[in-house]
Amino acid sequence: MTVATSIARAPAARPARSWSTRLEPYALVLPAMIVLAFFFAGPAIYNVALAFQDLSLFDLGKEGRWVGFANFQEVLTNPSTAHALYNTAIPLTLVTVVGRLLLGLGLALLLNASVFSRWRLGWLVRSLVLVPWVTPPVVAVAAWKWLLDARYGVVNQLLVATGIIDRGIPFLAKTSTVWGAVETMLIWRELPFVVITLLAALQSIPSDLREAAKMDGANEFQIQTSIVLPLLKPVLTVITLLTTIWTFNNFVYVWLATRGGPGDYTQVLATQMYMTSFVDYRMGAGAAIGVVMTLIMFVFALVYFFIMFREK
Amino acid sequence: MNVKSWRSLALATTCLVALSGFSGTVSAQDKVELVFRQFDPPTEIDGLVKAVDAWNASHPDIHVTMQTMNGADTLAQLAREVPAGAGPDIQHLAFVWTRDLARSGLLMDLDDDIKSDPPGKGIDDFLATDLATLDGKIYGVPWSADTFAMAYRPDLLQAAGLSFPDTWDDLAAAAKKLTTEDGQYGFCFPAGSSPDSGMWTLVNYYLWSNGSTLVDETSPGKWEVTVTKEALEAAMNYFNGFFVDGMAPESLITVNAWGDPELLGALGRGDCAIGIFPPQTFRAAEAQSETPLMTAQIPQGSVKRISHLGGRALGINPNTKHPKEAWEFVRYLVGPETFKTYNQYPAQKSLLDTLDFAESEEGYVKMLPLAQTFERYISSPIQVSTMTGVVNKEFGAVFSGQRSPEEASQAVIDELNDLLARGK
Repeated sequence: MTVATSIARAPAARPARSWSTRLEPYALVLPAMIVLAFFFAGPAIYNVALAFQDLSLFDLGKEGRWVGFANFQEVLTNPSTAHALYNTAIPLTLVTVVGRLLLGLGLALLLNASVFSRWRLGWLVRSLVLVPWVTPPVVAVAAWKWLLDARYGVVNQLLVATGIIDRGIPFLAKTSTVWGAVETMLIWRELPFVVITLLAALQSIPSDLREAAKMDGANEFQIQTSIVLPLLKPVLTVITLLTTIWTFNNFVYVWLATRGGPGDYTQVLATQMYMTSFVDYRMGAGAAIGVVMTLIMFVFALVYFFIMFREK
Repeated sequence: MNVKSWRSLALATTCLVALSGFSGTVSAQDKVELVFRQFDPPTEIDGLVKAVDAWNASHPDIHVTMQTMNGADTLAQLAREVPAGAGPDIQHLAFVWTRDLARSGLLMDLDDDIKSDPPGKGIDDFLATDLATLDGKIYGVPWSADTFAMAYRPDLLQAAGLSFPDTWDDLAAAAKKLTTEDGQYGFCFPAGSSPDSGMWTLVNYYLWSNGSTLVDETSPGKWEVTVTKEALEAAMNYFNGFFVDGMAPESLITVNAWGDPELLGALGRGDCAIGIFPPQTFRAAEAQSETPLMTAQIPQGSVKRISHLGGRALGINPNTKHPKEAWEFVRYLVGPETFKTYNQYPAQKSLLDTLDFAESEEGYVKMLPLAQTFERYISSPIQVSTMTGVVNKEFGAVFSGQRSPEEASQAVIDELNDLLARGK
């Protein structure tokens, strides 16, 4: 018996694996690795290398003059970078992320109301919410620019017709209104992602919890603040981090709406990078701005990965 | 499928591939394919399309495909493509780009072609060849030439009892009279802050006509910022006055392009009484207007009346596999056949002299002899696009109230000084 047991527990002799079998897993992931290296790592490394060179757009095929940290020194000591960084961080990112979270949460709570499922309208409202998100940003900005036009725009015509203002406001030309206009465009276009994600999270909260709380005498406000919101916290954190990263790097909305103007009032890091690279033709300095942006976002990405890792 | 079948299939495939390659070679030998890229807006290229179609109809052995690209993206696209061994065979170039591209080897040296097979009546018959020349060699053939003129609604000026203003001060006074309570503005112009905004052109007309220029070569090889803070401030105050006094709609502070619908239709709609346009945009505005439009000279300053000689050149990509055919097509484009349908002024002087200008385009006829190229800036150590960006940004900052003219004019001078120092 003892012998039999020891025989049974003895490790089975592993069959000798041929070199081709051992290489098989690597061969399977190789195409994906090549694609990643070619389309992601390669350009990123090239961009970092460019940031240490003095190179004109016209000389992209040649090697630039290596200038050490001169591009970073210039970018970081340039007052316009501080201005662009402020614009990127506060009016573009903070305001629109907070706006999207508040509006998104409100809309998701509304859309989660049982009345929609009772009337079988859930599919309709979810589809309507997605409309801005399926609109290409170029079209969305062009439509908003038309809506906000001082003379022919619907918004101004409505405001004039209702007697709120005497004459149309050129929203994108005035420093007092231009950021509000850009933020409106961005929030309108990007809100659906927040709404749909939060709606999915809300619908995953078991109804038993609500019912138990109601039986314990909790009112709707208490249910929302003490049960729903704490359960949404992980999703809200991920949404906040993702929208922050996407918005901080965003170029499209500011460029299409104002091109950084009037003056440089709405200049953000992404548009400054574009101007430096493709208007001043200074690829090295433009790449340095890109590296600075990446480093800032790297911090947010680390937080994101930390949270994801902790959840797993 | 057994091994024999696989072998047969592989052999058949190989034969097919080889045959298709062979037939491809044959067809390539028979027919040359050229790509010509141009950047005029699609609304203004009907005539050019006809010219290219006519070429294709008369040249069965050389087929040209025309690509259209946004002007603002064209230069960067070319700078990316050519070093990678790609790009169109023939490229439509702004005058101001040619030398920069040639300096980096992104255009073919056309000297030999010009000598052996000269375009039109010879290269000396073309305007602005200096802008296409680097170290004595020519890298682009001037194709079209233009300048700007004021455009206006004669009926509105007549109703206000005005003749067209002669000086900048007269223009401001006339604009005031032409501005009405019911939404008619005196003078409309693109006042956007973007590097490609038309504001740059107006600013330079104003400065040049008043004896100033942003930078100049004060002695051989020595470039300095020659515009004074006072001159810049005066220019900023002058143009800002149109917004402050309500003679131009504030919405124009976001308008960059001459062909923006806000400007293009403004004269026809009666939103504006006076505007300023390049020729092809004026024609588009005329087409949108039910009442006749006219053009007039650019106002004169304290020193002279002046505009810029702008235009387009044609260059050949050094990567082209068909330089001979590409040159043949360039010669065709600059020739009289093209300008029968192409809605631009030719850069060839002998062709320009034979052109019948419409009566409404009299302003351009008068301004062409007074026009000067941007050579003074192109030769400087500062990129013209950078200078344009600085000037437009600071004028936009004044128009929007972000900075005072005093602060903005100082900012322009400081930035130009920095750029000159860096350029050295």
